[in-house]
Amino acid sequence: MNKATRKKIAGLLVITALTTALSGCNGAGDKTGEENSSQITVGIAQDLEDSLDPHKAEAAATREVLFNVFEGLYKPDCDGELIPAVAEDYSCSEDGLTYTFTLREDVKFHNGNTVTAEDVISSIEACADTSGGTPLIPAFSNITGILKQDDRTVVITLAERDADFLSYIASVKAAIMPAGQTDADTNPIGTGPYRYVSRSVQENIVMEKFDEYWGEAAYIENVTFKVCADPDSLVMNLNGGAVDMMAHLPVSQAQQLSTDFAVLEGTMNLVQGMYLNHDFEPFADERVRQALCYAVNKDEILDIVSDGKGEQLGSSMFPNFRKYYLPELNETYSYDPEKAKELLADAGYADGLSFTITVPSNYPQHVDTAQVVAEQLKAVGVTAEIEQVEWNTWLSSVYSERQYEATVVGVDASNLTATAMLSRFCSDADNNFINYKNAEYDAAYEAAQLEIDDDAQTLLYQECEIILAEDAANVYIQDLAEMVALSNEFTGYEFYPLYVQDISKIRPAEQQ
Amino acid sequence: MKRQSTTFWIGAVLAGMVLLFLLVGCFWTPYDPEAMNASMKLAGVSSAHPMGCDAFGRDVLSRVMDGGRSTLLVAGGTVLLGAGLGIVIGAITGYFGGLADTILMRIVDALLAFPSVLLALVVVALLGTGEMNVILSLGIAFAPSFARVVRGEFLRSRYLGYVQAARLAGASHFRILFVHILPNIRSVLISALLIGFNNAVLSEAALSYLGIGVQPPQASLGSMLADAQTYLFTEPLLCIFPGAVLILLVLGFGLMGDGLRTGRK
Amino acid sequence: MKYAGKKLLSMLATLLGVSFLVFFAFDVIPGDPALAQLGTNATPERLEALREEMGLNAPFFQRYFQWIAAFFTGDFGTSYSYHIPVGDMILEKLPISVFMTLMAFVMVLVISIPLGILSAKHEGGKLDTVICTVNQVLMSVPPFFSGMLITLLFGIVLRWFTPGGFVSLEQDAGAFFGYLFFPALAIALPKAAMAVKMLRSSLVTELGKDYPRTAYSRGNTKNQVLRNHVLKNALIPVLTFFGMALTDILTGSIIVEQVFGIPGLGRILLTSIMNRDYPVVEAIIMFMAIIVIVVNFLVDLLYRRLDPQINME
Repeated sequence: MNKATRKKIAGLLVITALTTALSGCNGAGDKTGEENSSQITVGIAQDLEDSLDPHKAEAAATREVLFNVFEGLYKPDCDGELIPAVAEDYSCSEDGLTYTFTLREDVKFHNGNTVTAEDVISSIEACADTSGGTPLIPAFSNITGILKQDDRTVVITLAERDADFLSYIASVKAAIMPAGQTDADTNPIGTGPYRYVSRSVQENIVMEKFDEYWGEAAYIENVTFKVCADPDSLVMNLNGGAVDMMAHLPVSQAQQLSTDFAVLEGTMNLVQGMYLNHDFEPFADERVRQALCYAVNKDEILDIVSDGKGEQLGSSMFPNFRKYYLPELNETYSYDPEKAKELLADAGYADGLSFTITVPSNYPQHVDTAQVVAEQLKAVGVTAEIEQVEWNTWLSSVYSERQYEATVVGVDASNLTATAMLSRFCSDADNNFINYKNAEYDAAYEAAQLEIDDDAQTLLYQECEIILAEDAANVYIQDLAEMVALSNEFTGYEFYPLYVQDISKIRPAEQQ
Repeated sequence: MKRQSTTFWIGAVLAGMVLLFLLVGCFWTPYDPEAMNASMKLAGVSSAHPMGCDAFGRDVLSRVMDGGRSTLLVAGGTVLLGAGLGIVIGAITGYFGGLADTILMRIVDALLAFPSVLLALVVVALLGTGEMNVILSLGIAFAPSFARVVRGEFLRSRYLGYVQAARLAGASHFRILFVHILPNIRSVLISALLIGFNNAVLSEAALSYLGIGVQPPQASLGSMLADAQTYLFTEPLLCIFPGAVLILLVLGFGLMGDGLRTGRK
Repeated sequence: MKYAGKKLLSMLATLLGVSFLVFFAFDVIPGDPALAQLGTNATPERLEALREEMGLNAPFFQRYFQWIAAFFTGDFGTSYSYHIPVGDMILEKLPISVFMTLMAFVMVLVISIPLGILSAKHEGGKLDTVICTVNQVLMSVPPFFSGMLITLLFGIVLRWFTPGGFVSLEQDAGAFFGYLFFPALAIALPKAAMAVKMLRSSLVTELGKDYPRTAYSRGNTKNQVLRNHVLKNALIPVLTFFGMALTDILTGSIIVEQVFGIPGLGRILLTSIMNRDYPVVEAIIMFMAIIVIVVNFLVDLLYRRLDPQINME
């Protein structure tokens, strides 16, 4: 080898070695930086590909994060109770049509301004604005007037009584924002325990503790929501120390975490099922739907998909909605393949039935469940083909245009009302993507809506659930198990009955 | 001379073994590759299940045998289509140059920048799903890189002695392109084909998420690899078996290609 | 001058072609940006109002021409999903993709050229056999598999880097480059293996020709022959591959970006396609198309430079 070549090669080797050494140092440096417990990195499975304006944000994943930044007049706590937030109290008139909210004194926005009655009015008005066809919060079309009684009192009048009104007021969507803010899409200013600092597309969202928060202050100073888009490298990110906390972990991944993590178990608060398009001819027949329900073995699905974790369901309501949930509905159709075959034969499908299950591919739990369901259906002579589609194709072909036969998805609630789960099954509902038409159901739902007495109303909503279960409206499967991994350096995680990650309750472990 | 043909034979034995294994899979597998068994979930290697069971309690050996076949079909088809298109475009542009070169290469540039995911979505929207459509969309996506490599080789070859000689001897352009030049650039082509094959296997798995490609529960090596990734820490064997079959197959073909080239020199 | 003008014109035509195809693709595939925004909360009225607001109800060609006119005046539009200017968004992510591409590309060169020469020099020898075998294996390993293995080895076992611990350039330049080293390696390995193979075979072919023999007869050593006579000629066919590798790494490292959790252009492109956020998709594709065209143009130029025969035309 001549001199010049040797020199060149040596030079290249030095460069490579340098880069390696450099990266070696950094690896170590990162680690010490993360030892600081007043900083937490929370993994999120997808970026907030959305407006950061809570009124406009539609994705559950966005609301889950914005919960830390924004508050409504009221807000939910971890038991699903509504607690005062920007308002300190409210009163409702006898007829249920006038709500008077008393604002808490000296609630500060993250920009330092004090929340005024004007801010509250403009925020509620924005959510009730009908210029976009339907208001941002559809139930707010019921509002007939928002008045400032004095600097600390806002009166909202309704056209009709609505027992759920406070639940809507307490959703992140009805957050109080500064009046007249024009850049809310990219610069969220709320009143919550954390203040928005910055975002980087597909990388992270950074927040810091808001020192002038009116309520119980958060424990941790800096929070980074880090986008971990690849589910397969998640375990490595956690075990490697880049992420301290991650919610919505599938059981399979949670099991692979090192002992540096505590794995907390909850449920996802959704109704996973094989939803059937009732306009697809075979599914118009009740017997066929019932046969499918009998043919599906929920025990086996839970065993395979999530090691037996999760809650089996029999209707469109999940267990954490304690008020409305009826556990006995799970037993409506217990696994009985023989009965399934009989029913299919009765319905004229003795020679078999085939259909396609469309599944959104970004939800591995639904794809897995669909696989098990398809396999179980084989035993009763039903051939179910699986077709994976990406989320937006699902949204437009299945949800919006209703061009599908069956689909496995989870339906969740955007606020703490029975309406959120049940309204979609009314014959003329916009979001009745299964084309469900049942006069009995419509009547029961209508009656529940009009009922004034709370207990009687609950019974009527439960009646709706019973109808859905007995009519085998869909093949109800489960409320999926949800695993949260939290580094041992932290403690204090709380599950909510809604899609929420409340970081303000999390504290460094030694402060217990 | 002897050593080089050894390379060829090692490759041939490897590839042959894998192919035989997959061929058997077309007619017979130890278990139904789609049959689930909750009690065998993630079961380890045993005499009943020589490769263990996956997260659904399905026999991995049966799935590898069955999945290898569909992988071979889709990835093989993709590479053939991609290379076929690429060779034709590359040969014409590289050999003739001029206007054809300018126009075709701009199309190739456009395709190179066009994301294959979007292309696949368009194919699904226009033609529906299915294995043939995977081959079509991946084949089109793969063609530009083949075209570029082939064009480079033809560009260089057209002034070489043997080409000039063939031209003087009155050979037709077609003959020169495909009978004289093509065999002489096969070593580069084989490398490109092998890498293309590997990429196609993985792309197929990625595309099945878009609703095209092999749909579960049907197995393919790519989707088995992707699924097994979740269990990399606790069940590394799940990853290793389909991975090994894939690597052995590509390695086998690669060694054959190597041996063939050096052996004939 | 005329040549440059012609080139520029054909480049412009390519860009127009690509942008039209992308626009057309979004028209064909299911799902629309307004629905993507509203998700499961969409009602027909809100959907219609938002479509009107986003200008999606205008005829196809009108929308296309409006977009293209804005694009060429430097207005790349606003992201549908993020509500931030597309230009800012891309500019922020550009360093990630550019530096990762360059690092990977330099690695391809650094690994492949010396190894290719070494292998060709010892053709048939032990060293050659070892290099060829390792090469063959590297080519057989799927890229995301090698990505996982690298993460496992360097990230979990050796702890040289924190998997998923990506740091942006502004935050800490050292850590940024340090983190990109391993994904770049995962991208570079299979490409380098192929480059070694091509370079080796090209060198062997050239060495078998007449002119090296003449050089030997003049008393040159094998090294001198290789370096002064053969290497330049042998590099020509490999050049195409290098050019292609460069554009390939830039446009196609999405898998590695996923495995290593790097928020590069590839990932933004993918999520934007999924979200039907076509101002972002269009802008990224236009940018990539420009790079592809420029690189390929430079390769062609170099070709003409290095190979006098091509110039004879």
